[in-house]
Amino acid sequence: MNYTWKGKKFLAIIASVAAAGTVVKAQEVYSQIVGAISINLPAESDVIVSFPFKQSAEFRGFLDSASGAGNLVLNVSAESLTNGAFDAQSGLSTHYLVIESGTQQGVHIDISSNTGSQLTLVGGDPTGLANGDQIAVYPHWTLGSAFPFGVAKEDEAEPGLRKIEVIVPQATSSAGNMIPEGIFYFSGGAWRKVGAGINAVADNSVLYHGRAFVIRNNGKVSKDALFFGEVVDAPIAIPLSESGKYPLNNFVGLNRPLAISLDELGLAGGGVFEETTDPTNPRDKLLTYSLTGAGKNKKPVGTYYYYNGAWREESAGASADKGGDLIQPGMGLAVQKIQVGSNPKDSNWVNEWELPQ
Amino acid sequence: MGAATMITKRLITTGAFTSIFVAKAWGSVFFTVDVGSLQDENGTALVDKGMLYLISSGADGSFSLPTEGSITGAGDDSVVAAWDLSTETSTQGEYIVSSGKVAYDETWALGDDLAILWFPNLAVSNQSPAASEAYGFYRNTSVSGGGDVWELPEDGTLLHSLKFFTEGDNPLVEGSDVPALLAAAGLGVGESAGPPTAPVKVATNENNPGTIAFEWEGASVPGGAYRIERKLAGGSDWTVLGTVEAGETSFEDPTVGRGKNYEYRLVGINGFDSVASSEASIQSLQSSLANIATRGVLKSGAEALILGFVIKGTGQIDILATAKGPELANVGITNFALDPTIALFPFGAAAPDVENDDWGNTQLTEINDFVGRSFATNFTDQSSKDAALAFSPEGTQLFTAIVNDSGNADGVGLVEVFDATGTSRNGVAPNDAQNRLVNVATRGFVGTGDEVLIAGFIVDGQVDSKLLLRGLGPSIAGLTGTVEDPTITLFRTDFTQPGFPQIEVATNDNWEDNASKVDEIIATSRQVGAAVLDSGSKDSIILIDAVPGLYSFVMSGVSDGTGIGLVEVFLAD
Repeated sequence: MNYTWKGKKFLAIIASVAAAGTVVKAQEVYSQIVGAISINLPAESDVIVSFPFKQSAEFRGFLDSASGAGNLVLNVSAESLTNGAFDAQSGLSTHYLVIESGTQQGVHIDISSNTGSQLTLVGGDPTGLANGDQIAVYPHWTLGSAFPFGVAKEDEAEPGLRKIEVIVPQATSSAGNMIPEGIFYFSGGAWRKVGAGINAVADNSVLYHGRAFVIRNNGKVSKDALFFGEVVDAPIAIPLSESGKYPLNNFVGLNRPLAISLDELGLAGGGVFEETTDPTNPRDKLLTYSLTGAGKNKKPVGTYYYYNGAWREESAGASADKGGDLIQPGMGLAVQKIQVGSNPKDSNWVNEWELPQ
Repeated sequence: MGAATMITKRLITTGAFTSIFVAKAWGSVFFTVDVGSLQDENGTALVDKGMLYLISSGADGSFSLPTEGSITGAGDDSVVAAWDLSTETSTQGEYIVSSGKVAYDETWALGDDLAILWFPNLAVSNQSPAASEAYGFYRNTSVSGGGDVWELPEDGTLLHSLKFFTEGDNPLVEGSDVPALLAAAGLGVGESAGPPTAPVKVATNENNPGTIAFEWEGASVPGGAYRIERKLAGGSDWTVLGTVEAGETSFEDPTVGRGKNYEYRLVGINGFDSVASSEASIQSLQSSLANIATRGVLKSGAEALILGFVIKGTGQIDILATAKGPELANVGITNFALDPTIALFPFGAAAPDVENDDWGNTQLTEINDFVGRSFATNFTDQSSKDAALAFSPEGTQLFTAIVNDSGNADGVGLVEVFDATGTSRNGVAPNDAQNRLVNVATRGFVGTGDEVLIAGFIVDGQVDSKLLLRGLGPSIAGLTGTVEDPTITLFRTDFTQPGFPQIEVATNDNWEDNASKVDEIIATSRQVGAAVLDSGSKDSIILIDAVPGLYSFVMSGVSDGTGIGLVEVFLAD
């Protein structure tokens, strides 16, 4: 557990919350804010979710300098890192860096390796980074850390007839629909990956920060998935990609524990999300998926575009302001970037949000 | 474009989930196929070799068979996806075959049937089947097995899961009713194959009592097997009895209960379809309790000879009850009861329904008729002081017959109850629904020597009957003077030997003596409605599959103990 002097208050957040904290007498010290969310998984249905919490930071410090093109190398202000502690395993990053202040506040970048004073990242842009920027290193959620006993504690007795599957999609899809990157199930006390053999352990499979994934309940009865962790109340930068060949769906999620209206997303108006000028020909779209509806292979329940200074929903028409519609905690989203003529690029959607006091 | 070229183009390299788009850039479906126990043509688990194909039936709605040089044959079938099994991870042939996204081909349509084909001896480098090339074929037409329907799903489907598991040990599933034979690559390229055909005739018999033979003619099931199923008439749940190979034409079922009305059917199953036959009905044989007889001393009050019996089922049953005293002189008994009387009380009644003192006075015709239709022996003297009743109750009822000696001479009497319905059933034992004797019991004084309590009964029929026999003393409620530690011994009269000796069949002192039978005794007691005895009690129980015949069992006291005892016979099956 990390402690902070910034006066964050211990808070129970949502229904079915399990909260824990420490208060030290004589000095007022608060733990990070933790919370839990229970999401119902209807029988024979998919639920598209994102993890609404983070894990505890394993390092906090300040940037000394940044260099490198393509893969950033950051020097931290004090030699306080454990050499190799954040090295990628089998080519996959286990930790990510979050820039918590400065011009890139909210940006998170995977870490490929580290020394006692240096972090090497997977990608990243040094523009605007400055000495003194606050940085933190967080472990990625893995299936083993997010659901150590399986989703809804479902330990599959029959690996061939899995009741609960976690489907991790590719980050983007040109096909319009999600495309599984990995299908996982919990059996024999460990996570397994479909196709990797029934005895191969997949506990370390990563649920990437800010990415949506699918929990499929094949069973005849509904279940509840419990999400638990620390609240992210700092700005979040969510990377969005686009393509010069076709519209591209970015499957994302907000790491927020409370419902947020479309107007509070910070998605529109900043240049990241292309606004619609002709409602008969919408540009970028925000797709939402129901957290409660039954059925597999879900289609979006809401298709929004931004037109004439307000959010519009396709089925409601171009005159209805839908900016008050809510993105529920844990809800998976897709940001559909239209096909660009040339020079497709990645950009960050920055969501700023504060926990209501 | 040649078939082999087309297939290679669509091959999915499963490990990395890569795929090759061949048509619409926007459409895709993601498949998983979970298969258990794929086998080669010799029935050997298919490990690290072979090709597996997912096939669409195309617009014609039917699957063409592979031909020499072509996986999909001459029709409009097409390969949706293919897997190189040499690269798939398996545990002794139990695969969870992953998949990748499959571009939605414009030649496919929602609802097109899907099937899998496996070729044990093909490889990525050679996907051209030779003549007689071994292959397996399976499509699920019943939407069972826990997966998605075996049809092309909607364009854009996130995950479509197909399952194929057969019977037998399998780490992927706990069970399946798909015959294990279907896992084998039992078909050959160029050979005839197709859905099963139903038999033209099905029949049953129980020529071997206790085993029902189910036979069929004219069925076929290429590359598959037959599943034999049974259910009770009027029921809806079919029980799978077993599976036999395609060439078989009969099946023997030794698991039948007694007196059950069964229906049998044959289900031909192969990879193409499953077809059920018409149903063949049969009532299994059942033996019945034809009588019970108790010999004892006719005392008075609580020590009167009391015989109870239960009839169960629907319809009428003809019952003959007799209480013999003077008649016993004809078998050498000299201290017989001089003038026995019998009174028949329905359960809980304070007064008897019927009673009799001297048998020849009132129901002479009926009694003689019932005697002729049962195992009873004729009275030798119409004017004797023996007693008898003939009556025909209906439905499930419990009766108590109390026998006294109006002469109060404490003589030996013989009380008997007969099921006289046999001939009216044309000699066929009653089935479960028809009225029959299911329980008989007598209470009397357990003496020593010639005055031990003896009960006799007849199991009439062709098959064994499961009987629960009890000799109760300490567990008789509400009475004092019961025998403290009874023991019972069952004898069967052996009519194959000279002099018809009585052969000891079983004996028991305390009912829990045989620990391995205690659970079954408790379960059977509950089944027949007998109170489960307290653990540690000294009462006696024998549980036995009794062959048809004449039985007697003797209840006596350990160390010549005496007192009131109760002997019971329950028909459990």
